Amino acid sequence: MAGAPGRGDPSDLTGLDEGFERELLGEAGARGYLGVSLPVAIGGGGRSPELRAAFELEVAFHDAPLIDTAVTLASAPLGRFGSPEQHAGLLRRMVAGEVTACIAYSEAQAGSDLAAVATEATPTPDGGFELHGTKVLVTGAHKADWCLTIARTRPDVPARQGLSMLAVDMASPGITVLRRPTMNGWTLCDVTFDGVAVPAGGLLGERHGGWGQLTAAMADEAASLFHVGFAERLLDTLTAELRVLERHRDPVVLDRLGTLEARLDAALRLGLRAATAPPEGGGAAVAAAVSRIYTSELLQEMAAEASAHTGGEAGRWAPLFPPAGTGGSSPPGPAGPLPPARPEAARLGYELLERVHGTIGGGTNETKRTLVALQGLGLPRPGRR
Amino acid sequence: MPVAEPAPAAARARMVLGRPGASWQTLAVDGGLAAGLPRPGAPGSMAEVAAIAAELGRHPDPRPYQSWLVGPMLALSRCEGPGDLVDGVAGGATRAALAEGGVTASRRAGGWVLHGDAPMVPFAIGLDLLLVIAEPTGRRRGTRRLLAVPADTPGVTLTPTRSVGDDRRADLALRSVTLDDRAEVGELGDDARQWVAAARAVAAAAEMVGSAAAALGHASEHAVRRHQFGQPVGSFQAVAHRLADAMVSLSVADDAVADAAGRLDTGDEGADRAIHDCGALVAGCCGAVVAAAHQVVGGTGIYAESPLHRWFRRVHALAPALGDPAAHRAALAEARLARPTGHGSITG
Repeated sequence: MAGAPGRGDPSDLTGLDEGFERELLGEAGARGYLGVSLPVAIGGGGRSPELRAAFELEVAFHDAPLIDTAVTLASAPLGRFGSPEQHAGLLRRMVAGEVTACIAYSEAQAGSDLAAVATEATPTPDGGFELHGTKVLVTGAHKADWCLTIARTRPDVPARQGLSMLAVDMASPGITVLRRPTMNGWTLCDVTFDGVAVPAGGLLGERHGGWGQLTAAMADEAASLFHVGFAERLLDTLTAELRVLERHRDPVVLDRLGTLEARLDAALRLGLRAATAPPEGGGAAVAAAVSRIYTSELLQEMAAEASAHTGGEAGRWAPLFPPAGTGGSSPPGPAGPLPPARPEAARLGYELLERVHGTIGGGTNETKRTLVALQGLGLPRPGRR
Repeated sequence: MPVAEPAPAAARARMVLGRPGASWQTLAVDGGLAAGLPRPGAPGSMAEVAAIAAELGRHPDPRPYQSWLVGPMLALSRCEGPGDLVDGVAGGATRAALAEGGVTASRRAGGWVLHGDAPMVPFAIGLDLLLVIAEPTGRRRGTRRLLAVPADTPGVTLTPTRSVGDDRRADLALRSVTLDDRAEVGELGDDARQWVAAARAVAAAAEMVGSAAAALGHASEHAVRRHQFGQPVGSFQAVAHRLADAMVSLSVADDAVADAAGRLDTGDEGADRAIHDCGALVAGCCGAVVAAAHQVVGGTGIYAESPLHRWFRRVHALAPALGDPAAHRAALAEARLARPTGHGSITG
């Protein structure tokens, strides 16, 4: 990004330092770019899902860090299930670009099996909760002002009837955030809640109704067009590289490029289908799952394909933006400073490592296939006779 | 199923498709099968054609819709064409097939003489008329002509041949077939021929999607009913996920067809790309769906009495109408290389 010299931070998924991200977020909020398709009544832009889809595509294509913020991850469940007070308070501040947020659902023993959530929110006399437990694989918790999480509010019933969603102020006493580096250099967080006091107003949606809400929130997230934007950027980068390396006249390479182009168009159509499906019927969750399965696997295929066709350039790696202090020259990779290479070539190495988690985060593709089988095709649940 | 709710015309077609033993004319008229097909001076709606074609695709019995209606009507619509010919084809009274192959037309006093071959013409048994796209020879080279050739004209032979599809094919040979000028329906320039080929491909692709959707529905029902190891086989992840992948493939094909049909109707500038997407994606996706359906249904799916293989056959019999996927991929790759990089403009 030309406007971010020296503001890179490879330890954050956005690739940018927190100060710059907050400046950008505030500016985007002031211009009305955030929450474009949320209803006007709750502070959104009231625009069509198609416009939101186009916005998400462009944002993802251009590495703009708006994809890792409050609005993207947290505004949908807040908008859908939040109280009038939460809409007027937290949601408006998110849409204004004033706060950052993270979502913390997974636990060490509750990944694909979210019913195994062990974090407990014990009711307190003031109507609030005392929160105990540890969440893992949380993006951006180290810089988040707020956290949406899910915890058991009734230990005496099956998990699906005893979970609640909570909005937690990350400045509350008793929260510890541990940053753990990922394979691609940025960090994910373990978030530990040790007796954190959550006021009554922190309950998001229905008490003990968290399971259904979370399922809806996951479908909303899967219906975003960000992955299609990533895929467009990746194929764009690969095309440019093939030209530079003069591989673009090789008929075998061309055939692969044509395949990826057709599949990218298909991914866009699936993404638009998911983004514009009416949220009420069961079709939206299925369309979102279909879109996410297809596009996340296409991204992995594209990244591997890029390595295969770029010969000696394959395997070069650099973070998205040069870190602070390097002034934009020769960003250091994991194996020391790079020779003065084209940044686009090094981007392909970043992509290869980055696309691994796309089939896992936000629900593994296996759980999404099961969702398609159950809800889309009417197949029976596993293990039931 | 992701296939969109049928248009009213498709619902009407569905009503009559189940009638056993109904004649083609009855099906065409009562089923309103010509709905959406363009006529000379009337643009039609490929979206409606696609909905009807998908409906035909779902039905296990193959019908000569693509051969006797879609092909002839699309070609006739690009000509001034005599109205009674169009009416006869649209109403099912005239059983005509469009033949385009290596056929030449030489000028003779007051008429044309045709030579050439068109292999594997579907539903070629019992035809009244052949609509032949022929290339003029000699000084008249260039713009091709659409010629109406009665099937019983001397020099016309149709040799039946067996095929993968359940679609009564024959190899057409034209040897010194002499016609007078009244046989000439009109000229088909390159643009017109390309449009006809694109629209035929979309209609065929839509029928393939219908067949693939029906096969997936059949396999899913089987996976609920059929028990092995004490459980419905659809509860095993290996089976469920294979069918989920088939649904992903079906969605890809269905979207590609809908997009291409819509863009043909609006004359959208992205129509070429959408047609290439169709050609690059639909055959592979539908092929994967019917293959998965057969695998899930297992041994009983290969009995002749099972409808499954009829959808499988249909998908593979119609696929060549879309053109070679490799050629479509090449066109898409060239188009991408021709676009500037660094802009991210795929929303157009």
